Amino acid sequence: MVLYNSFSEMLNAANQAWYMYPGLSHGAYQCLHEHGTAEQKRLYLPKLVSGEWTGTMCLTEAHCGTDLGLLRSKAEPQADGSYKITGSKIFISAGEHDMAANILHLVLARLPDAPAGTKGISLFLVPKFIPAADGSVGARNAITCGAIEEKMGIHGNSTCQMNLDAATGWIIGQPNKGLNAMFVMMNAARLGVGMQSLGLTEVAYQNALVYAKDRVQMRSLSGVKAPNLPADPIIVHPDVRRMLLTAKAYAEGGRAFTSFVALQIDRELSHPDEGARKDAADLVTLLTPIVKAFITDNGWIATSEAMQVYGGHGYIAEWGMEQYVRDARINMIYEGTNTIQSLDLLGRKVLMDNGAKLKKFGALVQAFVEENGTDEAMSEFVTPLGELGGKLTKLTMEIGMKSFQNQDEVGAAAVPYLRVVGHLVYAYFFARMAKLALAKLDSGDGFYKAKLATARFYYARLLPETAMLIRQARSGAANLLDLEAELF
Amino acid sequence: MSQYVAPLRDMRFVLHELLQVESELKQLPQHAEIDLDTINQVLEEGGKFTSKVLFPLNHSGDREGCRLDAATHAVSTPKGFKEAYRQYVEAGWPALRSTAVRGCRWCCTTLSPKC
Repeated sequence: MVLYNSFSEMLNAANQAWYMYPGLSHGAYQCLHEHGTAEQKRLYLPKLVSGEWTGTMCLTEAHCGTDLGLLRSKAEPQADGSYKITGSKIFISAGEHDMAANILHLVLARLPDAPAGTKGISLFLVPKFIPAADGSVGARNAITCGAIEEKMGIHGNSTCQMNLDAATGWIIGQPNKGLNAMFVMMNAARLGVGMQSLGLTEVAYQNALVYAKDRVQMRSLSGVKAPNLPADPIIVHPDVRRMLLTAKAYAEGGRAFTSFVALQIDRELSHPDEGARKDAADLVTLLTPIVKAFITDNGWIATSEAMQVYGGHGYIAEWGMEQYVRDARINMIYEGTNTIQSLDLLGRKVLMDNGAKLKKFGALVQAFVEENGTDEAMSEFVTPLGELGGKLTKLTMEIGMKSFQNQDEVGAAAVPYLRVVGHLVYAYFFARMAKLALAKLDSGDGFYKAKLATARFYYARLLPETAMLIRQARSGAANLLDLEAELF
Repeated sequence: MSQYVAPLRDMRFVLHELLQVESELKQLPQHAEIDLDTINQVLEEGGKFTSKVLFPLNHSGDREGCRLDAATHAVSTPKGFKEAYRQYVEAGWPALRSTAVRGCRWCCTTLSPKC
């Protein structure tokens, strides 16, 4: 996983819309691997692994996105153990295409006797072509694309409306437990969305950097830097550097963070020690909404800053920068909006277990702070890192107390809260990277000088946002809820 | 006009210097065979594939979009997408993801024949 993670960043940087076709197969693979029957695994997994077939996840319907409890698609059991599924799904990424011989749709629907709400949803495997026992592609199933959505970005990916007209499907996992099975896929997809924005951050940065060195406009405020040119390259200007460094810091911070999470997934799946597996699983659970929301919010900032470096040319399609901004925007929305991610973090993953998982990450920060607390050269990193850890603990307790009185306090604090935790995570990794860079500063390799400068920029210019975010998170629900809806 | 070069130097820094993945993965029986050279080789091959095959289709794919044939319900993807997918599958890349579950047999046999 840790190796795949790096490759996944490259795939998304090079072409997010293309990578979504095979990308969605991974969630289907994982879901079938964990919840499928032996026969389903035998028939479908090898085709997903080889890439011969691809997968999708069909959740959303016109009237239900975030709230899957409202879902209406129906599944009628048949005498042979299969189901006939009828309904209409929207926003299905890679729902129909010409790239693979078959498409395996994982579809949420209700059984006839299912209870209302989320406890009555089951998951079904609905292949585009029904395979024979030997895996050869058979009859066309009644699941078809009715329309392709017209959208802001990721135009290369077919986002489909899918119609199921008594399509043949097979249940995955237990009846009415579809969301459990689906969440395996959903967690994989949420990590994948974070990787999409990390890729976009990197590619936008690279192009802005080339442009900033090439484009000449105005002279440096401190005097001419390129006397042979009619003006100085714009990389001499402080604010152009701020834009570049913002994107660079978010790319490098995100790379360190997601590689760490991917390594924890490897440990969770295959560490011989049960305690180590549990610790890794807790960290992955805690950090998944931060990968999804923090990286995609930062990706939006970074692609926008990178476009800004181009001035007017950034807004012109030919230069390619506006595409990154458009593509990045969806990542904040799908697979659970970033608000949903923040509620998942604060409500389910922090407050519900009294901060136990958060303390596991906090222990890593604390150990680093203690280990390096007396190192003079590291104090510019260790001091603010330790302080932020303390402030986050206080903030968490404060919101937890308020939430006993009023659960809306969680919803009012969650978004800035997630960003504070995200910054604690990045501050931790930048401090660790700065330590490595300081140790190799005399090696003559400019990479380490650049790494240290990026860490310093991050601590000086991006991390201080936490002071404002903490004030916002502490400001309470009243400033959002006091005004009656009709007075808006 | 635009470009993408995989940030291999920074990736190696993160994997080897920051996270020391080689020794971390040695603790995991399924991944114990993987070594630093294999990791670097996979990264390098991944960089080539993404820069040379996928990146050139990014802008054109955005401009062209996908098309639905209303009569047959068939969807055509932008020019070049299908061929890139064929190359992706032929090179064995889809299996890299499932190595997380199945161990690193794929990257050892496919990209680094020595182990």
